[in-house]
Amino acid sequence: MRRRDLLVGGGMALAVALVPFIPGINSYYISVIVRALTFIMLGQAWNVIAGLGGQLSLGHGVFFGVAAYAVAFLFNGFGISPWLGLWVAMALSALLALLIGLATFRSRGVYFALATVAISLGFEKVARFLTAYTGGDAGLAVNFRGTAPWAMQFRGPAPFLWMDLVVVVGFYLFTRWLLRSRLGLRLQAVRDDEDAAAASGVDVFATKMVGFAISAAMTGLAGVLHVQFYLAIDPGTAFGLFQAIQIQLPALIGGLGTAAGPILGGAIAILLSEATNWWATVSKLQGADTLVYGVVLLGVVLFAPAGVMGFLRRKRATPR
Amino acid sequence: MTALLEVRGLSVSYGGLRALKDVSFSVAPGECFVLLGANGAGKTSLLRCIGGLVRPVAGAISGNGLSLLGLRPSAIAHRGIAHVPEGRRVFPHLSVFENLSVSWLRRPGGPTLPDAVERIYGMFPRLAERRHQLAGTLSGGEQQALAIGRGLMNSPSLLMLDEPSLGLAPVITRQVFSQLNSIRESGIALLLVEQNASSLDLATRGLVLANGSVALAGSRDNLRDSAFVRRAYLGL
Repeated sequence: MRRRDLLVGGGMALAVALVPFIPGINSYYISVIVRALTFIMLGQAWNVIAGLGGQLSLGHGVFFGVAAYAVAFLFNGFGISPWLGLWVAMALSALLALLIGLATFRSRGVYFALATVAISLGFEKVARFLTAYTGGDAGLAVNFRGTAPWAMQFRGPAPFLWMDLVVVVGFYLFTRWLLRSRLGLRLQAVRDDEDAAAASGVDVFATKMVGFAISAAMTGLAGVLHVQFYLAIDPGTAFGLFQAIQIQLPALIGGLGTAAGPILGGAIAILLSEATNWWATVSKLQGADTLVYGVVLLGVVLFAPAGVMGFLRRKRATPR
Repeated sequence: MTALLEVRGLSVSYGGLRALKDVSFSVAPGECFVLLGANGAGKTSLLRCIGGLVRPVAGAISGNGLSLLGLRPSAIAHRGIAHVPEGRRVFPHLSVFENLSVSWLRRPGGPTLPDAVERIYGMFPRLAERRHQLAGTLSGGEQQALAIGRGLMNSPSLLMLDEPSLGLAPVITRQVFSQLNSIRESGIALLLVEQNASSLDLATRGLVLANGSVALAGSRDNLRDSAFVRRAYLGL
């Protein structure tokens, strides 16, 4: 790893980790950082299949939701600690990804993208109607235990900030490794040219399956951390289209297929959303935040289609 | 002697549209077999079908006496039949080294990745110079060399090339053809799809495809002397 990356990345991580120690800090700000880290984590997970593998999963929220419901259900119903439940939840998300892949990765075109949306919306309906297990429209509330580390429950948001930070740093290092690994190179080859990859001896189907399962498991981990933080999950948050679109923003803004992209993009999007939200409240223009947020995102897509990372690279590139 | 590649009565359709009708030929070890034909004659369909990218509606394909039908493209590549697709399809966002390593296969007794890559660099010194450069930034001739190098990574017994001269300047085309000649001299058989009839210089045998059927087949000299080829491809 380059020294500069280590210094910048390590410095940023350390700065975030120390935020809860600022004297008299309002826990609202810590919560915003937790939200940002979850958002980044989701972007990092989606980036594996969409950024590296080029497979546009438009309903990625389904893996987030399945994991969140699974861990809450296991805890409420059987008293299984989320520290164990998270492995079950991640495995369920990966398994679901393999089933979706099995049905769609053999055919080309938009089937995969459409199938992920359809399954996501299908799960939303299931979650609304299977009231006995999912709590229906109201969702599931995780049984509250106060500060109970074994139940992954804490009174303040700081422990979640640290946990999320560890996961984000872990996902970042994993993505850096993946980009240069055999699997990662195959994923990128499939993204760049599926036929040429196949002709070069890459098992396209197996590569997509493995990439998708990894991405789904990572998304599942984000779902577990989300549900433990809010101690609640509902069908809209878990499987709604808004969530599925949100998942795509960090990588799209920051730079698809890069390790640092989702981190930059996620941070920018949360700052933007907080700033527009604040402005809308102060100026009493209700809904104006969403409008401004949308316009800025549109600007990114139009003027920096390769994201912030692509923009930085272009500036840094010197003529040969 | 079993043929390296045997194609019998092969037919390919795209949704009712017949691209290939009853095509048969075989490639012997170490030879260079040229498939000539105009645009839309079915040359690319034929290579894609052998490479497993397209399913035939009828016919048989075997490599070293074993049927290749129904195998995934990767499985066919692993049986020593490498396919260099049309249009220098390198992976633009990967470096030269990464492009080569994508197609490397770990095999018991096979070369290590560094050894396999060094062998390709030995054949194409330009690629060695540009090993860390992104493939999308290479010149056309360099990209073609990379695509060929990628095909050679696992020491195939047969290398199938789809119009390696497409879009290259005549001087670069001559370089590519002379590299192909050295590859053939090293014992690797070539199945070369071309519109450029100067590829006949490399050939031992070949055939001419027209509208998806074999219009003419024979040795290099037969093809070169035929009135059809002279008129259509050599401009004589």
